[in-house]
Amino acid sequence: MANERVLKFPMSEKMFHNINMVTWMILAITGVLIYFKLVSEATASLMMTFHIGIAIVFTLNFVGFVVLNADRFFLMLRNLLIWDADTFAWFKNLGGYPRRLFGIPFGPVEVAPQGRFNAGQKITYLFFIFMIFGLIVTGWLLYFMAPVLGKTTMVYFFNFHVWGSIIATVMAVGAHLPLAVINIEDFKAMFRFGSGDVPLEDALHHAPKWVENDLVKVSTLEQPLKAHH
Amino acid sequence: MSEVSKIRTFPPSKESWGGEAAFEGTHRKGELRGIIKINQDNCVGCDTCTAFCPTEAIKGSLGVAHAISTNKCVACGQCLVNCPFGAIEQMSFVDEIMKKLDDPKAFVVAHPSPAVRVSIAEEFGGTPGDLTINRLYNAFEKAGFHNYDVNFAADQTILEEGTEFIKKVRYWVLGERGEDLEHVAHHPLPHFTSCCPAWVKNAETFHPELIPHISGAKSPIQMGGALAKTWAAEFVWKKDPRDIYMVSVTPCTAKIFEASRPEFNSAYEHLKAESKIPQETPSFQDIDAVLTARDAAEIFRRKGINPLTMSDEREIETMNVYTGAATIFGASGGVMEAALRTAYFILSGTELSNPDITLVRGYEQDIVEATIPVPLKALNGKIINVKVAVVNGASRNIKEIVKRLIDDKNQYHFVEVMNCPGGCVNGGGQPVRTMGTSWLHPLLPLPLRA
Ligand code: SF4
Ligand code: SF4
Repeated sequence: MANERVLKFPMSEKMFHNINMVTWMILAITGVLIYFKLVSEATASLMMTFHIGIAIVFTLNFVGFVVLNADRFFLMLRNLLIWDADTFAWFKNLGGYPRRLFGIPFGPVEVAPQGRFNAGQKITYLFFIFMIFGLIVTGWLLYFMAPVLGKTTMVYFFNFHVWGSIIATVMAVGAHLPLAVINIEDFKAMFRFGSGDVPLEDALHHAPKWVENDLVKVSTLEQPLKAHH
Repeated sequence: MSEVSKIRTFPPSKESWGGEAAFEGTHRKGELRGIIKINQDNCVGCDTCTAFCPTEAIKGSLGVAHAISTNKCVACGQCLVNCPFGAIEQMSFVDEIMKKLDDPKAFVVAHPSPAVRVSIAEEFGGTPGDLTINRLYNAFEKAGFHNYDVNFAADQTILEEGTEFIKKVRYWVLGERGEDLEHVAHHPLPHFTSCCPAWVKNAETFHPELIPHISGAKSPIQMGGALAKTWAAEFVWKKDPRDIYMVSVTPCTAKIFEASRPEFNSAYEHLKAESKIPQETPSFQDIDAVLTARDAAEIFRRKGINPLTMSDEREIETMNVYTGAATIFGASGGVMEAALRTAYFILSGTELSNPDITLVRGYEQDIVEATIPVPLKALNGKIINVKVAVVNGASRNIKEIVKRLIDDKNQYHFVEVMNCPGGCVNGGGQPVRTMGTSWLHPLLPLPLRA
């Protein structure tokens, strides 16, 4: 078991995640500089062109992932949307993170067994998917349809686009990134070149129900286990 | 129904009338400029406004605060009513008029256009139609104004414009010649209406080839201003015309510009020529100041008046009598319809059997065309087909009309151009609703229209 590994992030998910991350950050930085008028008008104008160009990549990345890897996408959604008693039980001690990270004795010591994603990740990732979709839709509607949207709709869309992206970016940088670094095996799986696998031991610790219910053994020893479809 | 938005205003500055030079860009000395302004701090650069501007006067790329080119702007206010972020502001004379209302020597006259009586109600939480004309007159009176309805002058405009059109038909279609027709010899058909100041400024700046086609009749507001300071001052109010302070109350921001045009001081010229005022009297305009419907509501608010709660009772006054033709003036196609009724009557000798020429009224289509057969009295009933067009919202259509005219000069006899989609009722000075756009509005079912 020591050498056994499970495939946590297939190549399609890694590609989607990493392109999404890079484009997101470029979009967020250019967007903030433009919106808060932190650069000259000429630079802002250039940045907006860049923002729109990168938004095309951002959109194609998401649409490509959903369309070309529909099975993966829906499997991921399924993992995010299935909530059982253990998922809810995670909130009793917030996955043990307050105790582990800050020594706060919050809730029971034992963490309820989780699936591929724990309850906190489920909420966060669903929010991120919603935001990606929402930012794509509002962004392109603002770009192509502004004069016919209706003023109130326009203001809602605009505020969603600006403030929604700022909130999501703060969450990504302030929570998602540090927690990902703490789960170092996940972090390495996501960013190393090659296979996005994690040690089976690690998977059993963080996501025992995923290992138990969703994984099948495809080969022995150093080959990764593959998830059910 | 959506909410009414607060629109920011600013008072005119000394520079608003220009300097000493006869011309500054596209403005003459004395003409107001910068009537509509984008507040750079509030503009998010969404670019919505550029789609509504008839003259491509708005500069700025996406994401960058936009700005209006004073030389290109015709002050129509369409950008203002369609800016989702309330970043566009309007020059306002409210403060100046408040001072005049406190001046015991000033005889301040409200000159309300038909489209404002519908809209002012909305500023006080009512629905269009809640405010009867008597309530509006009573509210103005309570605020310290005297009333002179624009509709009274609109009837005169219709007669002028109808008569002018008849002369053009006689000269250019029937080939008649005579002393009374000489002045139309340089003003060929098609005849363009002249009462929309944004359209006139647009034509002057961007389509000067159309100037000879534009009617020489002044807008009802300007006719009203001149009449008020001459005829009404002498025979109705019995006041020194120099004390009369005419305040046009309009749905239109371009009227603020129109009132400042140097040629619109006919009353002054006439009174001086007739020696009814001292020769050294400095020139004064026929209309001294303009209030948009929003500004008028602001005056009522400052005076603590809710026009919706005013009495509906009122004696009929000389200055407030008018016909149904005058009332439809502010609707798209209304000017033409009213003038055509007059022209039909004079040319044919009979009333138009269906005076509601619905083909030329309404804003469901961008350019509405109609052909009206007119039996000519002078030619024993020979019929001429009068071809008319209504251009609805110059922002999208004026180029198309100009192109058609250049392609075929005989395509129309009479063209009405209204800058704003739907006509004056949708003008840049009307209460601004949080929902809706000028473009989508006509497509919505009635109950959903904002
Ligand atoms: S619509 Fe308003 S906020 Fe948008 S660019 Fe124009 S002025 Fe700026
Ligand atoms: S007021 Fe009219 S002409 Fe001037 S910038 Fe706005 S839309 Fe254009």
